[in-house]
Amino acid sequence: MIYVIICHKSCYNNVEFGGARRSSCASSNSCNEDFDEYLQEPVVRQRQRRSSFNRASSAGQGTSITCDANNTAKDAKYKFFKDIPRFVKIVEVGPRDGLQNEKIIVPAAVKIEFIRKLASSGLSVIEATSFVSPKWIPQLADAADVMNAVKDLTGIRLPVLTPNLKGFNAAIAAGAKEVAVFASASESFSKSNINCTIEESLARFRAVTSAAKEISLPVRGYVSCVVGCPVEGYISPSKVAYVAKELHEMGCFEISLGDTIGVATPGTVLLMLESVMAVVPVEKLAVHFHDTYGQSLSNILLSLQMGISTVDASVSGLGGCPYAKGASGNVATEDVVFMLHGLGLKTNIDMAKLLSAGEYINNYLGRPSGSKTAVALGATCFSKI
Amino acid sequence: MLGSRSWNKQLYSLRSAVGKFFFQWKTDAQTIGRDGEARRYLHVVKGMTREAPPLNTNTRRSISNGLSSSPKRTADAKDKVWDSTPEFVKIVEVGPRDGLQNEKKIVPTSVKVKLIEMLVSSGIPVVEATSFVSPKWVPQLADANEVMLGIKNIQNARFPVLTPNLKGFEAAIAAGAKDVAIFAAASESFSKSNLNCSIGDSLARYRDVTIAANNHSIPVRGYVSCVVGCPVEGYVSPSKVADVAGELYDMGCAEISLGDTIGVGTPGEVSKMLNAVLSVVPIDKLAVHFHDTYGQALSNILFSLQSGIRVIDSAVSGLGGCPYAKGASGNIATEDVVYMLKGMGFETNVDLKMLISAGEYICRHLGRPSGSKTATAYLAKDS
Repeated sequence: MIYVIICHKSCYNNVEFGGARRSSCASSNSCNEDFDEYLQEPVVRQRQRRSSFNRASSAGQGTSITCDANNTAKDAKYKFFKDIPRFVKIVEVGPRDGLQNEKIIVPAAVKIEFIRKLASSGLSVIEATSFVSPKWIPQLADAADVMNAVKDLTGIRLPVLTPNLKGFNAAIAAGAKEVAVFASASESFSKSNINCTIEESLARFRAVTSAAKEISLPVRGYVSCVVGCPVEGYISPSKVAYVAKELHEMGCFEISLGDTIGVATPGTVLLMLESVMAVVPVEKLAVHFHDTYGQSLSNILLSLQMGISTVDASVSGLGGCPYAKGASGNVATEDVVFMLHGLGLKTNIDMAKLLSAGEYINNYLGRPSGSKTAVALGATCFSKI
Repeated sequence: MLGSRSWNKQLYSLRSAVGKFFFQWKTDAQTIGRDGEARRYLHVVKGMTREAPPLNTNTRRSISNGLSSSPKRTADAKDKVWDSTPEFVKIVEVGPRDGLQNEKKIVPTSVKVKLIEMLVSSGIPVVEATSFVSPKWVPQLADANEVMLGIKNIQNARFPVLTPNLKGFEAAIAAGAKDVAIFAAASESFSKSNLNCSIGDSLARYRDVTIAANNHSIPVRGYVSCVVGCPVEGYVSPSKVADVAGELYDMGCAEISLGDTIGVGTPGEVSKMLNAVLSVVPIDKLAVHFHDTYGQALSNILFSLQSGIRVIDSAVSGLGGCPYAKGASGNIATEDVVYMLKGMGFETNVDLKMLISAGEYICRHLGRPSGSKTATAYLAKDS
């Protein structure tokens, strides 16, 4: 166990909570609060109270709380942090999953600059684009141009979506070094979204993964509708586990579990993750929650507690929900990073640079940020301190 | 609080109904292998490590996906095999006071009363109705007396009102209040800038209020603000929070609500703060009041639930922005909280659809979109 030196006080000078690092603590690697503090058994305080604790209540002792509930609570807190991974990888999906849902077509030059800014913030994986037919997703018709321009960015992985072998070949030609395939846990959603059954889509993806294996190219697998489907409703965890297992067995190095319509809550996430973790190792899993009902951060917290160490997010919450007009979609990367940094976890992400990437794309799109952290940090009067 | 057997049971029953291929039911806590690894995380939802008893494997119960679980449906979900009821989480709705007081547009009394009526009809058990502070400070709540008059016949809910001092308390009693609330800060700077006095002086004032309240047998709710961070001082140490919470508890508060006033808390900081407070106040007397300024409220609430907290403050439609960060949000939206609670199998007695209507009503009046993502998504689906 590595103990990071706490520079607690200085970190909180300019209200530098979570990702709100504004001055010298700009790099998230420095001044990390010692996460292991949270693992220490709580110290029961011996308190001398002026007024007596001789109350007709279950407590009555003046020091520790004797009722069962409190002891359970203290033990529980220790357990809740024990399995959270110390380093969390963020997979930034803004340029692909985010932009593909935006109505305004963003020119390639803006996308490229956007990806560059994201890369400079410390993100290590950025989903750059998608090699699907422009007929379906006009926003990403410039996939080859974008890929060609960003392929030489160093120290960063740039997966691209490839729905079939044709897309895969186009991706390779454009210089892609990592691809992604996209299955669904719901038959109805698979048919309406990619026009084929789950089995047919898996067959297509097997062709992609075989081709990728030949040239040692990593493939990321997505499973959509892992909790609910806009057509079928609740999706059983065993379906999700089946699809995840298939993707894993065909060679995907990572499986991202997506709550496409954002209906999951920690209860359903627990069931779903349990199911999937029984057949795919947790280190190969990522979570991709949508914030349509505001639930994503609590779902992410629960996933971390279960050992998940990769989280998909989209800067500024780019990409609304195509199934509920006006509702939000992807969870905002800034909000996730705020929570992770607040928990003392490492992400290698510089919040200030992340915020500026979000600002850049929002300025172009002419819309306010979908990230509450970005709005608060942009507007806060903490800066007067 | 011993956790919810019913929740654990629902969990296990669903797994046995659909997951037999993937899970082998074992009651041995030392199970090795992946399914054992996964199952030991069950405790993260409720903070309990007890194993549930063996099940009737024919039992089928689907866990709500969170959409439209009305109280009736939750009651149906109670399995015949077990006789325990789902665990109850009390929502304290602060929209009409904490929410509206931060809104620029003055809301007429009739609208406030109608909002409170709609909230109570949706099942909310406690609604903070108004505040007996000087109208000079909070013009929005200058109609406190009229609001109290308007709601005096509403049944099935409690209506605490803020009383900053003895004078406010007496006005509240005269207006028919049956519950009052007092409001201290864990940060000296915030106390001075917000209440114009030191923490010690505010507590002295509140002792007068609690003595008077005790004489009238009126329960008092205590608020502690800035329990994680202060807009002036920055980080607030957990021991300060515990000091203030302890004082409020000692002076007779029936419930202490811990408020993350600027919304900067994340579960680690919340854990340290709760740890400290729990050494002086029993958990069943604590409530959490998180602000969603940085989008962190629901994860903080989840963590608090895991730690055993069962009272949550929230404001319908996320009413009330953050006065310290222009344009930023403030209170967490009640609809989003209720959605999460229902999805986790907690009982709240709240009908989400009716709650969403109450939010829609006030937002229409204020001419602003809902601050609740659940409400926005729900209404978009229907349009």
